Amino acid sequence: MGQTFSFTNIFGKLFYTQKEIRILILGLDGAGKTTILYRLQMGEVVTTKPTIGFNVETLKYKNLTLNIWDLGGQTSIRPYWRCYYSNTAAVIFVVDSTDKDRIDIASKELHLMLKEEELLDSALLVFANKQDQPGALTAAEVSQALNLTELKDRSWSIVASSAIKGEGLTEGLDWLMDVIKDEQL
Amino acid sequence: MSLEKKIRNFLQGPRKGEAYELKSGLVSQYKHERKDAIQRVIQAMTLGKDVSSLFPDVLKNIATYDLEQKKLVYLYLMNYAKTHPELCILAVNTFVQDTEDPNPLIRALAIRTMGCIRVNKMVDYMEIPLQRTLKDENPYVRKTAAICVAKLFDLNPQVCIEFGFLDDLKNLVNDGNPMVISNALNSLYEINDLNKSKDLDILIINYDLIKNLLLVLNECTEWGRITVLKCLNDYNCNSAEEANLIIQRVIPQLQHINPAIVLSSIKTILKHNQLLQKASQDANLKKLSSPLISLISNPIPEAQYVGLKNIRIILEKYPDILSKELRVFFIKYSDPLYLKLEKLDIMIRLSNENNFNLLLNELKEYSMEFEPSLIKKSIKSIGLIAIKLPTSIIKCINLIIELIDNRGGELIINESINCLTTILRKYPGKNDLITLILPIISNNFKIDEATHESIMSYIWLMGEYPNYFTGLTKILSSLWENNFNEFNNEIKLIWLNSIIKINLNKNLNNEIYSNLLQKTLNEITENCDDIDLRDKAYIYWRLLSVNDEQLTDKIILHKLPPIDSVIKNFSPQILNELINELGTLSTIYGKPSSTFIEAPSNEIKQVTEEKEIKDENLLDFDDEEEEGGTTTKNENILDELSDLFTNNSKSETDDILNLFNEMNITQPSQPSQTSSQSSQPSNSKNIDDLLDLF
Repeated sequence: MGQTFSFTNIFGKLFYTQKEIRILILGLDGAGKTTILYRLQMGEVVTTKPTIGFNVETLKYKNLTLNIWDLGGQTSIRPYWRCYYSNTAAVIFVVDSTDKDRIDIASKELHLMLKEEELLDSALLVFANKQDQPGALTAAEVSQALNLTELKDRSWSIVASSAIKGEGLTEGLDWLMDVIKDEQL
Repeated sequence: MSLEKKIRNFLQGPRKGEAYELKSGLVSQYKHERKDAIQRVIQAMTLGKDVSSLFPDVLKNIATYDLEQKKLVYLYLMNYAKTHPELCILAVNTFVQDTEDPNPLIRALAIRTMGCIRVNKMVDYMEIPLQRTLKDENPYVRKTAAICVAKLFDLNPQVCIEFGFLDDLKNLVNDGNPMVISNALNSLYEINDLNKSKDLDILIINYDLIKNLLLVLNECTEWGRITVLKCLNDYNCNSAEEANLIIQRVIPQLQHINPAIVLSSIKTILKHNQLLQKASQDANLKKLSSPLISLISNPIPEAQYVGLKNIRIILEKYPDILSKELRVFFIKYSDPLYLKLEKLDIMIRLSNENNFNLLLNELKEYSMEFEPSLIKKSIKSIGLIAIKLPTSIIKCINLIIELIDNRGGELIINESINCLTTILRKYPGKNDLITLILPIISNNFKIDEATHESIMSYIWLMGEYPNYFTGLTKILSSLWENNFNEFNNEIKLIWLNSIIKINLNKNLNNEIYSNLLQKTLNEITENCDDIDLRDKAYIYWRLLSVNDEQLTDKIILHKLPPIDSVIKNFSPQILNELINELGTLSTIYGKPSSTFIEAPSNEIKQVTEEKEIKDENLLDFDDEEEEGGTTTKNENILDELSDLFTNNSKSETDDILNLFNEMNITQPSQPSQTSSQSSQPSNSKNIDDLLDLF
């Protein structure tokens, strides 16, 4: 049996199955992770409920197969994020730009996560989301609040976005693709 | 990858081991590798290997469009959920999404798996998916959700009731689809068994429900039919018409190939039959004979055994139901022993004046078989027939003589002695029988080969019919010299009785007897460690020294009434309970379910039609005050009280007895045989008991 396994493996790798690139979407609850995921996948806004667990969707983007995981952001689920870190090419961290009270918590979670060994090589894309809302912090302000400048040895970027309007998402993803292409291929 | 890490990886070398391999497969970047790995994990799981450590990685693969993979992951989840209860919530989102899937199979699979994950945290998230699936348009999903309600109830009854799942489930009983109805019923029965609170109405059986069930009965699956039949059986008809309707609808089920359905149908028919007129009752009973026989034509011996056990109980209640079918129960050479013994039991019950010749011929064959227990039981059965049918006595005794002469052997002789002794107990004092039987026994009895029972029978016979023994003095002296010390207390007791009876017999005056009596009394009073036996010897001794001949004769030579039947029967109450539990384990154990499982706290309630008209809240409230409800409740309480009482008093007296008879070896229940054999009046036994106490 082992032989046939390895045979299909090699066969698959060479010919017809494309390698999937794992991307995690993380962030506090209510930041808009699920909305971003389905905006990217279906191009439309879906009504969402708090995600207890995760959503995963596969999507083709610029000839790459992306496996995008949207993990629930509630306090009770955050400890289990670590289960998903292995083999992750990039992390998309979504911040609710209007939620000034909790931006410190978001920052703490972000830096805690980036310390994980399994994520040392992953790229980081931060979406300063909900730019359509009044009183939203700008990307620069979010960047400062999150202490992104402290990050060394990592390719990172921050993009202002609005999942509802679909703004900023493709720019962010384009940047991510460029980085990943260098890493993966 | 940073250079540093690359070097580190290189130095570490590739990690090995199955677990690591599976783990990396599960998080692989290639779809087919992940599926491969899942299959291998499931394979390891079914082989019994513990793969619970892979839980989070398997869980990641739950969200997939590949149905096969989804099923495998669900399977894994059900199996290992308990090992990682906290991680289970990671699957919630997928479950909820899957219950909205366009494919009903996936919807049902999701809700079923969710119910099977017996983790408390899961309960909080079940509300929406369960509510949705209970009202699903697809019957398969609805029935799966119905079962899920019972699972939820087991996990958390409060949530189940608060979220209204119980009410939803009750509504499903009136669903249009037979599969949903039967599963909802089943689920309600489960909940009824699980329920611990007294004031919760779970299953209300009314005539409307029954009518509906009768309509769907034929369309249900086999399991469904059993549940529906159970419900029909639980219904108490208000009139003969209702009963007749139910019976007419159930009768076609008797043809079903599944024995469980046949049994359930028989049970239901028997129950409702009681309400009908005598003539139609008999007509219906006649219809049951061929289904009953179909139970033992099953090719699987175990299934036959179950059939036989049930037939045995039905026969006790309705002895004539199979009177013409004796031949069906004849033992086949290839039957396993347990079947043979059970069949023998039933044949004895079926024996009557017309067929005993046939049966005796069969029994003769069986007594020539090689299995000791079969031979024993066959010979015993010959005795049972002799006792049951007086016209057959001579034939039976001749058959036993024939067996002893032709076959012999200690097994047959010992069993025959017991058997003949019981026959004499049924027909005491019949001269022709005694002269026929006693010589056989005294010729064939060999103390070295005898069993306890046959020694007891032999000694008892000597006490009862001393005149028919030749050389009684010799026999007794030899027994006293050689064997008395090896006798157990039971035999010693019988010996004591017999030796006294012989001494009181006016026709026998011999010093040897009085010597033996004196020795026996000395021996027992001085050296015996059994307090009952010793006390009895004291009483006899004192009785004899009183020298009141009339009194001693009255007490010791009192004749016991002849025995009625030695065929084991249940008490009427237990029999009725068992009839009501046909087709369940109770029939195999031969005792009502209440004796081996905890009885459900709530009886299934029944509501008459008027009640139903009221709206539901009122109904709940009224139920308490309605006569039906209260009386059953009161009865329950009374029952419990009386149970408490009897239990207590019993255990108390037991304790007292134990206190006083610390060295008591013969149990109070055991002497039934000995006391009946030792022709001893009941009042002296009472004295005995009383004396035991002091």
